[in-house]
Amino acid sequence: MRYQRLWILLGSLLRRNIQIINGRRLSSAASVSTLRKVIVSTSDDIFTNLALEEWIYEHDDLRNQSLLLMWQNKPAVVIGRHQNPWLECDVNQILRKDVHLARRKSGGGTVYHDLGNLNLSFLMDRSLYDRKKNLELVMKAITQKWDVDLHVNERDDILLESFYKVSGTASKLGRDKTYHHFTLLHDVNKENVFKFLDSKHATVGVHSRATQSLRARIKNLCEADPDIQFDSLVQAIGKYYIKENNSKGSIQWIIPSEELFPGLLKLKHDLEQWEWVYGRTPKFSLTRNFTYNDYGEHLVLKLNIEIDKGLIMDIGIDVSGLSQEEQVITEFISKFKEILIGRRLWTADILELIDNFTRDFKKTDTDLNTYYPWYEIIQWISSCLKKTLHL
Amino acid sequence: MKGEALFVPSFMVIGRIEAELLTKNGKNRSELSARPVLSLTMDNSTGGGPVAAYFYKISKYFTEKHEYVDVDGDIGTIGITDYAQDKLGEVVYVQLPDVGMEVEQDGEAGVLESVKAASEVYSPVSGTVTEANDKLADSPKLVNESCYQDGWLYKMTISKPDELEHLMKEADYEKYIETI
Repeated sequence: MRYQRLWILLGSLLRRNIQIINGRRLSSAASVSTLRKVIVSTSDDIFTNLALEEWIYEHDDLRNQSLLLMWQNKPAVVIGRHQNPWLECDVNQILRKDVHLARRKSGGGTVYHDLGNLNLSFLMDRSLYDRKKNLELVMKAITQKWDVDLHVNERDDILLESFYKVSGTASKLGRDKTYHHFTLLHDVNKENVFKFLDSKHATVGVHSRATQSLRARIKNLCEADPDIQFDSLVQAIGKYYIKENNSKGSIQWIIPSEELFPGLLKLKHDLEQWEWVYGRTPKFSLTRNFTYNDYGEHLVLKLNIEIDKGLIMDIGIDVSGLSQEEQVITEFISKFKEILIGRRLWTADILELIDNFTRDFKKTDTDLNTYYPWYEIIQWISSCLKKTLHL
Repeated sequence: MKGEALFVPSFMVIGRIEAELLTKNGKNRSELSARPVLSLTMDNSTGGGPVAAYFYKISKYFTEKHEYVDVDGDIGTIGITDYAQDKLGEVVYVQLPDVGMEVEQDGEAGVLESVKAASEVYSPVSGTVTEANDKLADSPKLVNESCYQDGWLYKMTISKPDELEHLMKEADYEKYIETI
């Protein structure tokens, strides 16, 4: 018994030592004397800039130096890490207009970027993580130079005139490092914001657990003062950030190249992949009912489509009220399911597949009643499916 | 058997057996309390033969990054601590590892999203994922409401039991969070 107590005593002594080590490590990490550096990317490509941010996050030693990275992008819609692009934006319109669609590694909601939007990313040691502090720094830097009414609300948005959102926030927290990034709308095309961030999917009949964005009224900073533009913001915020903790140095403009940042292209490539942008969508389902009243037929169609990892995993097609030729319709449905299950939810491909299959579907049964509108019915089923998928 | 602690004389015990009785009260305490396990030790110096002993073994181990592993035999249940869930705020989405995935100690094994932040979860030990908590898909808030019970994240084999020795036990962890 005595020896056992000794063991315990020894154990607790050892633990106490570990704690002292931990305590020291933590206090040095949280030191106020951390250096600050400002870099601005010359690239206007969303994937390159997100890759650069990730590269710095992975490779830079952020224990002794915090960074502020700034950039702007050509038109792009950027969704949060756990969001559903089909439910957050108009995917087809985005693709048609050559707008980029990217998935961030941080949480939060969907934003639209263009050259009228400044992106700011504060990269630092995890012990220094404080979103309010970053937002307030930016707010102070702006209000010191321009006469604009800005506030930070409880959702970590920056509001103009206490009402219009001019900034959306998101962050990523890793083991020892973190970044907090946010947008700053200074002269963004507001029409495009509404156009691209409008999903064609109705909210009814959609079951999804993905993170949802909140709609907000927006305004551009240049509406408050026309001098607020990309360059003037970069200068004002960059200088304020360096000056605030008496760091030395100036704003550095850098070209994000593979030579300067080995491995950057791989990070960019990974961010561009279908498997990341669409395939990381949390499981969801689309359910809709349709009725058919034509040729003396009164049918009810129940459709349920299950989508996981961006792939069609299961389709439920249930038609009731058929008066004749149930067999040919059933055959169509089962073959239809067969060709669709396992496919990517990729508009052009699915549309072609549905149209071709419906067109080419031949009746195998020669005794079919030629007066029965079975072909019209299968065409109707196809069109309902397309409507459910919003193709 | 629960509630009983039967010690064998220390000279009969080979190897390091740490027995600590948790006497403090409180919800977390009771959740954390260890379960009795059967231990067989061979002691040749005292004439040989197996010696059976029921004792309370510490089952939960903690990391500095606020993950825990609750050990039951060779399976560990992984979750985040009460301190961590409180810091995160309301969890709105939980991304868990796939069953069969091999994870390394300190390797990324999932992501928790809360108030616009994506926080990565690191595995406290190495092994293979055997089960993911499916309830979290529909109720991610369980992580906040019951981090040590219904809000666990995943279960895994413990391929390197030695790794547990580098983790903190409950009392140490409690002291540790006071220093942060």
